[in-house]
Amino acid sequence: MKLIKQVRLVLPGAVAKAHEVDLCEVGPDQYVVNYRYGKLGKALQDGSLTALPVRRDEALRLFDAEIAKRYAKGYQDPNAPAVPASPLASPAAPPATAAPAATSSPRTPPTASRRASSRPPLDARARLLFRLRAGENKYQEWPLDRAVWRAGELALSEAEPELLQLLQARKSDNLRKYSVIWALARCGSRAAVEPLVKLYEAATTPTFLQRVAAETLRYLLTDQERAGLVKREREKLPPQLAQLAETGPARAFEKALWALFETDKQSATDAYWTAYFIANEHTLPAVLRLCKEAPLERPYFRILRALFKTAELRRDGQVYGILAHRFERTSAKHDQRGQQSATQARPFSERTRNYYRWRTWRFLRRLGDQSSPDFAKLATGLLLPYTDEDMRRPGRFWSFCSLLYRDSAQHVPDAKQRYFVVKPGPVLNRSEAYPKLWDEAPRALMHLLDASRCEPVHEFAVRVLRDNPSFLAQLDIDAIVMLLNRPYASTAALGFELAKARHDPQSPNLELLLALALCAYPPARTEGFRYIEQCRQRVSADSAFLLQLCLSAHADTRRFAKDFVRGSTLSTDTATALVGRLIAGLLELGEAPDPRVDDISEILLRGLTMQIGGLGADVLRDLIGHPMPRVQELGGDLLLANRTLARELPSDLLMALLRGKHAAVRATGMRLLGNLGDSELANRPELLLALATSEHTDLREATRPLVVRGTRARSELAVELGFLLLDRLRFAAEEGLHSFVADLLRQQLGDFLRSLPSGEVLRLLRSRFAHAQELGGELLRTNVPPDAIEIADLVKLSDHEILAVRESCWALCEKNVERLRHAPDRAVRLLDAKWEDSRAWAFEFFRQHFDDSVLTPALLVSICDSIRPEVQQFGRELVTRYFDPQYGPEYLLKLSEHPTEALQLFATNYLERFAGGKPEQLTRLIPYFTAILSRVNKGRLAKIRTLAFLEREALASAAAAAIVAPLLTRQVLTIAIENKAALIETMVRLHEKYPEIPLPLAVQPTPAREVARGV
Amino acid sequence: MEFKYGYKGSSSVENQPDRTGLLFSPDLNRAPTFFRGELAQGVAFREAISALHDVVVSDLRYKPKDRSEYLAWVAQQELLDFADVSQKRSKTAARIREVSQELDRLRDLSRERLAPFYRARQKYFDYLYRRDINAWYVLDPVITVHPDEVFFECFSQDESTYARLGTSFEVYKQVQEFACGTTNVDYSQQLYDEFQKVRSYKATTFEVDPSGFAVNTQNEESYKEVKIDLPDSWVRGFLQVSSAMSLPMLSFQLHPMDLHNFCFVLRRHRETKGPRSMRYLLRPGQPVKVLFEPWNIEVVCRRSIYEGSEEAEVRVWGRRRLHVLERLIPVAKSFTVHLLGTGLPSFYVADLNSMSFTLGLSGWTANDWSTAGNFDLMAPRAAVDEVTKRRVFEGLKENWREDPVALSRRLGIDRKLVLGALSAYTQAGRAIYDLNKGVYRVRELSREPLPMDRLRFSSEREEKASKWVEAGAVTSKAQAAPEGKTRLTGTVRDGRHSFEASLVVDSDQRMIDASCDCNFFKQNKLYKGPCEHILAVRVGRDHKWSFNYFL
Repeated sequence: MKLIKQVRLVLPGAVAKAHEVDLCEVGPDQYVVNYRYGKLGKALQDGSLTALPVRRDEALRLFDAEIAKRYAKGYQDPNAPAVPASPLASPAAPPATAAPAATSSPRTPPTASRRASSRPPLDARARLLFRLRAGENKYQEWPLDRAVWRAGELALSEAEPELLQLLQARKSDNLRKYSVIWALARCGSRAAVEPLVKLYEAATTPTFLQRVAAETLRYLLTDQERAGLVKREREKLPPQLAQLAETGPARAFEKALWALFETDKQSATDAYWTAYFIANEHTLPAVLRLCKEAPLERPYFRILRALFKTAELRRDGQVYGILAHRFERTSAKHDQRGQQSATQARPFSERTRNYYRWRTWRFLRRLGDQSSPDFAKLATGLLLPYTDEDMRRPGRFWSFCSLLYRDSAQHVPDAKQRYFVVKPGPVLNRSEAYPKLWDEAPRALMHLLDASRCEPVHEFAVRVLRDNPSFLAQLDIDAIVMLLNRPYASTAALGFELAKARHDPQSPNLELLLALALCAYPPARTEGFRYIEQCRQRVSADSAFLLQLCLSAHADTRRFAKDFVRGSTLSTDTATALVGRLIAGLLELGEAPDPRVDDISEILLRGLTMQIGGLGADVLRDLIGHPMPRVQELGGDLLLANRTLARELPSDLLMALLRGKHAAVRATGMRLLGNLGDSELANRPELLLALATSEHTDLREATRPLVVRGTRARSELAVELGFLLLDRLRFAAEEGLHSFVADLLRQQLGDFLRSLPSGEVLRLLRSRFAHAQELGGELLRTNVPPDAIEIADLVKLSDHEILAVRESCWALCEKNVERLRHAPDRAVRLLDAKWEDSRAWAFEFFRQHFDDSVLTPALLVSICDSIRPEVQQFGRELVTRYFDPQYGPEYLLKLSEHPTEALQLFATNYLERFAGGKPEQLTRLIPYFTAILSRVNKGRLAKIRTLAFLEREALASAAAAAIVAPLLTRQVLTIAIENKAALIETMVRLHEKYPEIPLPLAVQPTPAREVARGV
Repeated sequence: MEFKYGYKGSSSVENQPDRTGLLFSPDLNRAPTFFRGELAQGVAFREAISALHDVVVSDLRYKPKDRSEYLAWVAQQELLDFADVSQKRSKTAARIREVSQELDRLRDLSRERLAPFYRARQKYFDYLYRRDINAWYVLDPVITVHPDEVFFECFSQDESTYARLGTSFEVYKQVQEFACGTTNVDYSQQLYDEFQKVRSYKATTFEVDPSGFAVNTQNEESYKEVKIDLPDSWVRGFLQVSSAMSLPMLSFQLHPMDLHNFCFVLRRHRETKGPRSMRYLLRPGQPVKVLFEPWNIEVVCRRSIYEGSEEAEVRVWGRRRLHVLERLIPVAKSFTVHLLGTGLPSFYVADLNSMSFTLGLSGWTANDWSTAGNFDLMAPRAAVDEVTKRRVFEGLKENWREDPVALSRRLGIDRKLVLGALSAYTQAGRAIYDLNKGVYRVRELSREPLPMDRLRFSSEREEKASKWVEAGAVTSKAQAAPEGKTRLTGTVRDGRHSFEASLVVDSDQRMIDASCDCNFFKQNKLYKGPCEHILAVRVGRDHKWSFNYFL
């Protein structure tokens, strides 16, 4: 087949398409018009306009018609000058639309209902006594148990005989006995001891009765007897615990109790109650911890409930307050009704929670109503666990708000009495419940001020205390210092007023002055500074005082300290002591940023310049190693200020700064590094390597100018550093490092790279890492002499994953044309690259440098043997271009063995010329024909050509017919109608010409039609 | 089940314009097995090994199209439509239209701008796919060297197709050296690509490399460890199909063009509904006829006469797997078909002169619950004691392959016992029945013996069902249902309880619905597959049928 004419057209578009039309000569005056089409740059699909060869004029007509048709469809000749496409009009920006104005209706505040300010105290003692005496069956609407309980609440001592009677009555069940014992704790006397002891000691008494009896007995017994009871209870504990409860320490007791809880929950529950009963300094911490931390779930809830009831009975504000706070704060585990029992699976329901919240306040309210002296104790206990953290939603704490804001206009309870609605605005006047009781207990308020971490509680306590000037007048200096030290402005302001009154300019109390300067109330601090100025002499000799000022949490105090230190002449000893104390203070700080460090730095760097110059390297090392970046930075600054160390610059200190996590610290390090001289720098390649391979991008970038400076000072540095860097490329590293190192080598050490020997370049190419390979690829072109590389390696590199390598490889090939032409069998492998760009280059390379003088038919066929359609197509192109009729039969035979359809079709073009009239060729081609004719539902064109060829050959000679006949016999079984018909036609013709050749044909004579008879 | 192999380097093909060298790397952990020879029939070998490759990578399981993106779009569109309808008459409609047009325009713009990115990403994914293509293969083929032939075996990814390519020593011009045994060979896509370049005019040497065994290669760089975690169902499928070969079967020969015609029908038509079966209509002395459902196209195999003594009709499914044989049509002399029965494995043996290619197809392409409990191919066929079994196997190992009759005569053991022992070893994957030559061959599928107790049944439920059927505790009854379906109902007695189970089987013999009154079914319906009672009713029916057929 010889190419006569070829046209290539392109259809532009998002995906450009190509169409190629060939006019080929296959024999004397036998032409075919073949075409290929598909996406531009991809393997094209084959087709033919001529299933069988036609005459030249017919072929030309077909060829021109096809091209005209393609032009009509918009195809263009890519070599013709292109018409510039009109630029796409950029769409206008959408008009901005104003958002509709949001209409917001002012929220109507919920209607506030004012509640009765207080309940009138009940005066029903006589009625109660009467009810108790009436006994069981009267007053159905007033149950006896409730009356008993109420008698306890009112401490109705007159009722004791009735209560004791009820305790011993046979009819009384355990619940009644429990109520009676509980009431006796309030209204009992010595007379109750004997029956209670009897009950306590009886073996049949249930635990809960024993417990309440023991608790009641605590009240009624003398001190000595009580100690005996406690001892007895203690001995009920497991021996080890009993021992620890007596002797401590508290920590060991707690640990042992917890261990018991892990193994035996029941005895541990009992032990916790006993620990609370003993309530000494060894046992109480364990109980408090349980109250604070145990989840309100099984199995803890049961013991917590028992502790709460006991605390209520004992009027123990601490445990009572902690548990009440927890009931308020903790969300209910579920809202299922009816699960009130702690023994049930999920004890803390919504209902239980509300019950405890209401009960807490009811209990306090009743104490308050009775003006009980225990009120202030329990109320203090209740207020203490609250913190500022709780105050984000203060209204949700029922008893807290009831206690502090019962008479406040800003706090209104909701209809269901579950929480308070808080209106904005400060609470100015006293609004707490039972103000009279609070006025009577100023020591409780001082306790609150000392221990509370809650601003509203402080404000409340200050309000109440200001109403008690006589108490305030009695306070000593320590108490005032305590008030000043509180972190709340209101408390500090109160302290300030008291301090002002007590201050004596003649003999100032330094403790008071320090407290003023450090307190949370700004005017108090300003005043404190004034007082300090007045006694500057005394203060400037006191380094501990100055240290406290420097470390103050308030910026103005620190500013004052700064000015004070700079404005005073400190004695050497004081200054040295202050520096030491400040550095010690800095080293104690944690990792979190602290604004104080800035001021301390300034005090050190500006105010104490003389002293910091003498700091040792160890101190600086500690500072640089500190977790807080600002402290590290300060360490760097101190190093800079240190004249001797700055000159020597120990490498470890420098690297410690340079490895810092924070940019500012590293910048300090870089500043120090900048102080190094060029020659000094040039002698430290390891330092530069460490910088260049640092994990911080800013450091790496800063290395570039240093490398330039270093190499300028000492040219050998380039080689030393270059090899170190190349070595670094051979090991795995974090993302970005390899790319930086490669870039550094390219930009700053270009000369070194240019002189790199070719062995090193090839070594780079063998690396596992992409950047090394890429660098190797770039150098391949320049550093490797063309003949230093094997052709097999060239072939391998032309298929490399990195584009730079491939590109260099192409350049090398261009320099190596002659060598490649001498080894064409290896060179043809360049074509079979898996990268499209490499293939495209190889095609072009072969078109330019290889011709039929080098490419033997065997090589051309081996190109066609590739499995890539593009390469096959290129192979066909070459075969067509360099076709030499002398090798025609060889091409035909070899190509016919190809397994793909396209090549099989291609080979049909050679049938006519090289197999026509040669029966021996025909025999060898039988497998080829079988393969074509057996293709299922494919290769129509090839089948038509083959069948036509076979028929022609068979009709031409008997020898050929004998060869073809078995093939036809085999293939005629097909059910593809087109092929079957053609096969049968051929067989019939064959049979007519050579009846002696066996064919599975049975000619049946057409039955003679009967002549229609006329009617 | 984890399989571990160790190879020295990779298998490779060296292609030169005038010669081709095929070098296979064997598994070094197994007993040394190697072979060296020069191929005489290059082209036929190329076609056959390509067909084998098609089996290795074939996965015809149904893969649903990912429609999530479309569904999300539909959901969004529905909202828009709803808004459009509800506010058609208000001004908002106009605004919505305006905004949605704007949005469409912006989307188009974004698509246009992102197109190069998407294209590049797709290209990258394609690259990754091509780069790691070997990760997609399941198990490297098994190669066995025997004194008379070398054969390759493989099993498809979808657990349904088995292929065996046997090459007699006549295929090789000169056999230089060999050591009998079985081993796995390293296999890759590149290897397949290189096979395509085999030509008859190039000398092709074939080598299972013995050099790896000569030295301790454990720590060498080129030493390659491969670990493949295969699901039990895969191994079970392999054993089921290969042990089915030793069962008595209906056999007949087909002309290559008959296979061509089968493939032609399948290439020309696409089924949209069931049944998707091929019905072999066999009448003694008549040409074999094949009916393709649901189009009812009848292909008459004019030159293939059925020579059996009884009339039979066998339905097989998963017919598209036959396309594997397309490449063999031009080179095959004939195909022998072996049918086990409806819904059971079938085998196609292509005669390629001195090579033979056996394609084994399981009953269905998919091995899901709908075909569960269909027929227990792994059931022990005869009771043979351990000592005799071992004697028979040792006897077989002496010659590597032997006819069971000759073996029984040589060992002096009853023929039935020999057959029973050999079938037990076949089920355990340690021997294989060669359909082409009618001999048993030693072939140890894995280095370690396979855990047979784990492999016989796919679940405990299947095991229970089979026990009940054997104990005769199952009664089952079939009844025709509309649309060609069959309803099976039955009772299973389990101790004091008795359960009523029923199931519906469609025209493709697949279980499509089932129910039972047991607790398992009430709790899980069919989400965890059918319960043991449903399986028992199904197996119970097949059991009667199959045993009538075989015994």
